[in-house]
Order: sequence, then C-alpha cells, then structure tokens
Amino acid sequence: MRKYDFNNIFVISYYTGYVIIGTAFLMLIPIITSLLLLEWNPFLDFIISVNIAFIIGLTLIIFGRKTRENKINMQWKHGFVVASISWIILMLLCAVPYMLSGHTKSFLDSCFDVMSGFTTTGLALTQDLDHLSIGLNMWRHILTFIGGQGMVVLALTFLFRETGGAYKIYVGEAKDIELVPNVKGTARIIWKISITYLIIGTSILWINGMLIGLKPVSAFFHGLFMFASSWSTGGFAPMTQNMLYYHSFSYEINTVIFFILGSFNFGLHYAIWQGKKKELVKNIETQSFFITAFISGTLAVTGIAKLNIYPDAIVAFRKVIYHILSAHTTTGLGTLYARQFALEWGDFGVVVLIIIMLIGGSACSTAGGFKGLRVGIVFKGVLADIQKLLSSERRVRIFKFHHIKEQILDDSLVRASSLIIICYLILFAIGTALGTFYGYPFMSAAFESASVTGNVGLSIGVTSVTMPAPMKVYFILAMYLARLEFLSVFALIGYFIGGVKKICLKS
Amino acid sequence: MKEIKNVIEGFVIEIAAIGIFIALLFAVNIIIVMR
Repeated sequence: MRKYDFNNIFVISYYTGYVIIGTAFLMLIPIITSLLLLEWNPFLDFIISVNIAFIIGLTLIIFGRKTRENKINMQWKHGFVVASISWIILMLLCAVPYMLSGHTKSFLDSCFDVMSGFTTTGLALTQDLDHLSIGLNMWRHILTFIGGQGMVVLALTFLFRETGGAYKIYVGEAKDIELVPNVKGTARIIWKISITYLIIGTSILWINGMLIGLKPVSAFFHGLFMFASSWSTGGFAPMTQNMLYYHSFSYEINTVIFFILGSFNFGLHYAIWQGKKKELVKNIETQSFFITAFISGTLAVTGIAKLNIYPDAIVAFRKVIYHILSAHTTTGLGTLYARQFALEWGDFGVVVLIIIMLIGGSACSTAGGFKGLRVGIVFKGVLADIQKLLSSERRVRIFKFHHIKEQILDDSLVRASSLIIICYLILFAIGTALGTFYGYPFMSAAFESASVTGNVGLSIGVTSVTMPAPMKVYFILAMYLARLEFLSVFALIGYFIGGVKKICLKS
Repeated sequence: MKEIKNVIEGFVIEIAAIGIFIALLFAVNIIIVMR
C-alpha cells in the first residue's frame, strides 16, 4: 500500500498559519481604535476574534513545524494551495467580529461581507451601516485595503523569513510582477506605495471633509475610510448612502482620482517613481484603460442624454461619468441608489456598465475584472493575426507590446489571456443564469453577476439580506475565484481531489 | 533626496494625467448634453 506523503500537509499548514497570524495582527488596529473611542462592545468582539485567530494560526504553524525542521521545499502546488486556502480560513475568522456585533443577520452574511472586503468588491449585507461602530467600520475598511494589496503580500512583508517558497505563494495570489528581483522586496515596495498614498490621500480627504462641514474627528475617519475604499477599488463606504452622503463634487472628484490611481499596476507606479515618466502613456494597460473608459463614457452619456433624466451637464457628469469610471476601475462607489440604474438608465446604459465592469482595471493592481492587460493582449493578438494573413508567407514578423518593458506578443501569451477571459465569462454567465432562476429580471441578474465577477460592487438591487442563500454562496465563490484569477482555486480543488483519491485507492 | 523628488514628481504626473483625462471626459459630456 502506497504511504500518503504528509509533507504536503505540513508545508501548507505551516505557511497558511503565517498568513493567518499576519492578518490576525491587523485586528489590533480596530482594538486600539475601539479602546481610544471607548467603544467597549466592539473592543470585546475583537479581543475574542483576535484570540481565536492567533490560536488557529499558531496551531497550524506548530502542526506544520516539520517544514522548518526538515527543511521541506515549497513547490508551486503548495504555493497555490496556501494562497487559496488561507483566504477561506481568513474569511471565516474575519467574519467573527461582524457576527458578534449583531449587524449581520447570519454567519453567511458576515462571510459575504468579509469576502466582499477581501476581494475589494464592496457589496454589503451589513445592516444599519449608519450606526456601525467606528471599530467595526475600521475593520471593514482595513479588510478592503489589505485585500487590495493581498494577504500574502502582507505576510511576506512582515513575517516570512525565507523567500524560497514565498514567490510561489505570491503568484498563487494572482500577482506575478517583480518590482525588484527579491519577492520580499517587491512586497515591501507595494506597501511603500500604498502607505505613501494612504497618508497623502487621507490628508486630502480629511481637509475636504472639514470644508464640506464634517467635524474634524469625523472628517478624519471618513477621509481614511473613503481613501482606503477608493485606493483599494473596494467600494465600501461608512454610510448607507455611499458617496451620496457627502453631496460634494470636490469629494467625488478626489475619490475618482484615487480610485483611478488604485486601479493602475503597482509596477507602473514604481516605474514612474523611478523617473520613467513616459511609462504612463507607453504602457498597454493605461492605453487600454483610457481608450475603453473614454469610449464607454461617451457612449453612456449619449445613450442616457436621450432619456432626459439629468437636468444639466454637471449632474450628468456626476451621475453618469462617475459610475462609468467607478465601474471600469471596479471600485463600486456610487452617487445613485441601486434601483436608479434599473429604473432610470435604460437598457443601453446598463449594458455599457456590464461590459466595462467585466473588463475591469490593470493587472497587479487592486482592481478586478479580466484586466486591461489581457484585453490589450487579445486585441493586439487579433491585429497580429490579421497582419500575418495579409503579409507575405515568407515574412517573419515579431509583434511586441509595452508593459513596463518591451515584451514579445507570442501565441502562448494570447492563449493564456484568452483562457482567463473565458473563465471570467463562464462565471458571469452562471451568475446571470442563477439570478434569473431565482426570479430576478435578466438585466438585473446580468448586472449583479458582472459586478460580482468583476469584483466591482455596484448593485442594481439584487444583493440584499433577502437574496436566496444559494445566490449568496455563489456570489462568495465567484468573488473569490475572480479575485484569485482561478488558477490557485483550481489547484486547491485538484489538490483535495488528488488527496482523497490517494487515501481511498489502495495500490 | 533624489528618491523623494522622484516620488513627488511621479505623484504630480499621475494626478495631472488623470486630471487631464477627467477634464476631457467632462468636455465631451458637456458637448453631448448641450446638443
């Protein structure tokens, strides 16, 4: 009988434990916030939650300690499984404070909100948002800020000592950009960029908040939360009315700037910070984004202007263009109530939003969707095929594109990009079908499915506490699959099926 | 010092580019709505 190799489980357990501990440390932030603001109930909720998280994280590390003792090497399969399994365990652990707060109807709703935060989607099932404690609001926005960067990136920056296996887990979280040759260095640079913008962005929104009439402490927390939500392209807001609460054009413009910045590739920010200014216009992703955002914005305004809903150009800009940019960057911040999309925009406006929600932002950024890079690669691949057909058979042509550096456009890259786009479209189609199965109108089901698949967060009214439980479960899975870009989740499923087979089959 | 200068320059360039793009969208928006 073949003996089962437990080394795989030890490696996965060891590194998963570290990712959990890294995220558990974050609970200290809402604990300190609640303590300073004398919010005793949230304080206790987080004390209980952090203890549960540390116990589970340490147990996993101790169980997997043979990884370090026997110096077991991490393989690619381990990296993908650690990335995907740690997100599931973290979803369950991070839902505990929500559950204890009483602001969610069920543990499933708590898990939904956590996964929505981690994946920077922004759909929410939390009840009575306007009366949420600052501690729990801090937690919601930390989850979305960290989710944008990645929990693995967090753990890499602070907790991982060796880098041998670290790169494999980093890639498992759907990141492959190397800003410097060392993956820990890359993770630290990602954090440096985010923290720098956090300080600048929060300061700008804090001042803006005070100018529109918020009290200084309130303006600070609103600024911090709205920056975290914008930069991470998350879409959470501290108030139920989302951006409508502020009734401020300047606040809206500031969030637009921050969420477009957040949707850019971290490699692009790093290149520009190093003095390579032309990267902003040469990069295939920024070209793809600016072109598709401009076209979709123009089309949406043209289509909605015919319906004469908005009285003037400024209102049209604040309602239409704001949502086009919010959807395209997969942020999900909104200046309309959910049902207004269905009742006022008409089918054309909704279709434009669905398309751009699916396209999404840049790769290796905080944004979702199938990514501008893949759209650009597939588009250039089609152009290249047309040019090959039209040119002489003897002529050998090499096609290139610019993404941080000049890269060759080869068939395997076009095929890989196309496959991931197909996976996203399948996820979208299943979500739409499920919505119509439960009685939602087709356009509403498609809109919500696109919002979930693209990790956007705009809602047409489908996402609510009364949504059927199977839809909530599907949306959680869809947000998770889309954020991790499928491969690491498929690796997790394959690993479990393989493990069960090995245990069940005797040879 | 050079690093800080590059960071500030980079930030200003990014904001300026996004600002120009938003202004362009705003201009197109006005033209379409006013027609």
